[in-house]
Amino acid sequence: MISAALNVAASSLKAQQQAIDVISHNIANVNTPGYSRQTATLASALPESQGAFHLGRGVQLADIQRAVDPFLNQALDTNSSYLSYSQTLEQGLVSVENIFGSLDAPGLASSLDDFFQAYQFLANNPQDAAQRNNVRAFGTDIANQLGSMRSQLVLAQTSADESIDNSIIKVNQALDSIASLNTQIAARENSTGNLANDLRDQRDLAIRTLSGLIPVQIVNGSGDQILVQSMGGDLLVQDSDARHLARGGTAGAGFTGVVIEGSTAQLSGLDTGGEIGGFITLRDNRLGTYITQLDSLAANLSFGVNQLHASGAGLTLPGIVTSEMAASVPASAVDAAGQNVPFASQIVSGGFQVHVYDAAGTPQPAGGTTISITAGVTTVNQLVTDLNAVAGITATLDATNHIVIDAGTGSVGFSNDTSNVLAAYEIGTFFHGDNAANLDISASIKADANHIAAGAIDATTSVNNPGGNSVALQIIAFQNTSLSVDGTTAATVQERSTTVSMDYAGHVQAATQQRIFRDAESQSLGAQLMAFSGVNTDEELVNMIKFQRAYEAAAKVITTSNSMLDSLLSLVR
Amino acid sequence: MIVNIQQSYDGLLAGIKHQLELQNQGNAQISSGKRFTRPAEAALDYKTSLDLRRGQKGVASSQQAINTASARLNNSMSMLNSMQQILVRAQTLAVQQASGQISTNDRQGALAEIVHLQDSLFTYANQRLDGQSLFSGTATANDAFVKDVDGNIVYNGNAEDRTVAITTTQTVSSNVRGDNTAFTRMFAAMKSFENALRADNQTGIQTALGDLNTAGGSIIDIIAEVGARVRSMDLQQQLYADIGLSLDTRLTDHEGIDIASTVARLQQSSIALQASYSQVATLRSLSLVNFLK
Repeated sequence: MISAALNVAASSLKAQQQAIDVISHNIANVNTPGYSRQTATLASALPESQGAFHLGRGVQLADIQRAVDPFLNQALDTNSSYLSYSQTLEQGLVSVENIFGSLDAPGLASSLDDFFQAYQFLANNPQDAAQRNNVRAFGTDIANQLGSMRSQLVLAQTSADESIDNSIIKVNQALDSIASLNTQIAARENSTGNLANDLRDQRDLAIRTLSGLIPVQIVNGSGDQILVQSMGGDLLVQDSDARHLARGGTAGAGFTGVVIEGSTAQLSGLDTGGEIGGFITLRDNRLGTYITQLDSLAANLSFGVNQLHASGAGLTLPGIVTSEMAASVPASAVDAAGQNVPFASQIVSGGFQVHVYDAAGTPQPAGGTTISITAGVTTVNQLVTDLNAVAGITATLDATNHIVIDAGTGSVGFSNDTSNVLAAYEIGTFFHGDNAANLDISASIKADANHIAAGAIDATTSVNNPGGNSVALQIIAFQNTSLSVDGTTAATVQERSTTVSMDYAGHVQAATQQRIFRDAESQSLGAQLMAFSGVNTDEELVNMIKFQRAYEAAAKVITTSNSMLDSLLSLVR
Repeated sequence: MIVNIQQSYDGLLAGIKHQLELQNQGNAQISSGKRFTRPAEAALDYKTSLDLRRGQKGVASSQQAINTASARLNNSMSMLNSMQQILVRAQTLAVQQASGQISTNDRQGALAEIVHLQDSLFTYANQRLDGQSLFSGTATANDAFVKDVDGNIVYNGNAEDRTVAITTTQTVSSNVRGDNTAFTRMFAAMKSFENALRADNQTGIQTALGDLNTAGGSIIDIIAEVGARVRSMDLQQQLYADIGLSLDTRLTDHEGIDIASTVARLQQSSIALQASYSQVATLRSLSLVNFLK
């Protein structure tokens, strides 16, 4: 029976050793991300019946359990998705902050103020060449600023789009990892009947990584398997099969979308969370919106100023006027959509006056000639014919269908345009272009600041008074006039400029608040996870001492049993 | 529930990051002197700043416009005063020459002075400021008055006033137009006096004296009106100076930081940061490993 004691002691040695192995494993993984503390569960071995008694046969390692809370894990996964989303959004928005200016570096609003202030100075001194140059310089500044802001935003948008490619690579790695771990876990657990704790930890970590990239739903499959679905219900991982993501189809703003490899349908619900969701929201709903707002501002500024400017006159009148917009279909109505003239839809029935002057500057005749426009009826060819019929000028379409009005040795001016045809075709306008990318100063004003209109030609006498400022006064009043030429809500250009900055500021603040909240949530959940699943080295060391002592005691039992055997054997000698 | 050393480190790290952010924010505020500089820091406050700065630009524009109008009106008034002085001299001459005791030779002497005075009036009436005719309306490139074939002085400008925009909605006239009847009366009275002297016509001189008195009164009326407009400009200048000052104050109050409280906050943050660093060092030595031999 001494051998029984030896066997019991040996089982203890083995069990304590295994328990210390588990502790050693815990201590080794104290800083391993995603590791859950493991606990060795010892249980007494099945007793042996000897007569009326059941004698114990020692101890054995019954189980190794990991400390894991599924609800906590799920909360962490969800929060990881939102945290990545808000972090990506915040970082993306902060990276374009310089575009919107600061109090120290004046932005678009300040440039608009400067432009209208310069026009006000011109209204007060219409003959002053310096004021004209000033207006031209500030007009150019607005065009440059809008162009620069737009190109930087487009660059940021492209960068966000390219970042999605990198994120997709990480998503596919995580999907592969989960599928592979599914396989390994199944193999290990089916063969041993015990939970593959470390592999499950790794799978949980892979799911968390995946959640940080795209929002997913985890569904427990049969036995030890899990299914991973997108928020729209698309299956991403089933058992050992992973379905990769890829770029495909068309998403917002003409960018390529995200699909499951081999499919053409867009993966739904991507923009609700995760790093990719952050990039998509940044690209389409933030940067895309700012670009649209800038384009709208440029369109309304351009048409609003041009509408007034086209009916005015500069200090000197040109001998040749060329429209800066070309007709696509001269035989069609001036306001036809097919003309590809951005503001053609603004043309209404009305007319304008053409004033022709001889080489001495005498109007021929005084009072000019009225050209009538009937929306939907008057064609570009007809307009050219009507202009050509005015004595002293010839009107033609050049090779690219720009309207060219030539006064020969004389000069030509326009006034009282009630049809908007001059502004639409950019004849005698201040700005050229209809969006933030192509907005510029008209070629005529670039060449000569004296072509900036401050006053207007007298409709009755055709006299162009150099001290007149009626158009300049209308243009400075325009800054407080609500207008919409592009289907947006009518607003002043200043309001539009402020709206872009305020929308941006609101978005950054919202993203920052969301990130701070999610960060705090992450820290709180992380602390809870650490408390539930983390390794406390002190506790592990104390446990180690306990098992070490038990091991020593078992060894003592062996020593004692050995001594007993020696005593027994000595009786036989 | 397990409380392990890692949690303590994480907590301290989060605190240190927070304190560093506060330090960074406080330093930026102190170095710039402003509570915020970027729209993302304070969206609505930033908008208010833009509005206030826009207001400041508007005030500067208004002040510049008022200066322009004041300069034109003051120059116009100087010319009108000079014209009025000439008319006073002409009236004095007319009183002298209306006497029956004056000889023909004396009247011819007076005629030479009157012709000279008319030339001076003509010069004053065509006065320019910055190369722009003062009295020709918006036809500023033209001389305000020209002589016709008969030697009569006629108006050569137009009937439009030169306005300046004080605000986007408020414009004021900054000129005196030469088609005002006072100018017509003045030149006509002087011409009438010249003709009477040339003809040695005592009755004509007496009639011219009445015309000169009437013209003088008309010019004085314009001077009084321009004076009132200049005074109005001065008052508006003062008003905009006050508005500008008020905007400056509001902007400073709105954007400026409370240095004392910011420094106090920085100091508190600095102490918390140092305590956190110290606690990290303390935690480093708190491990059972250190006591197991």
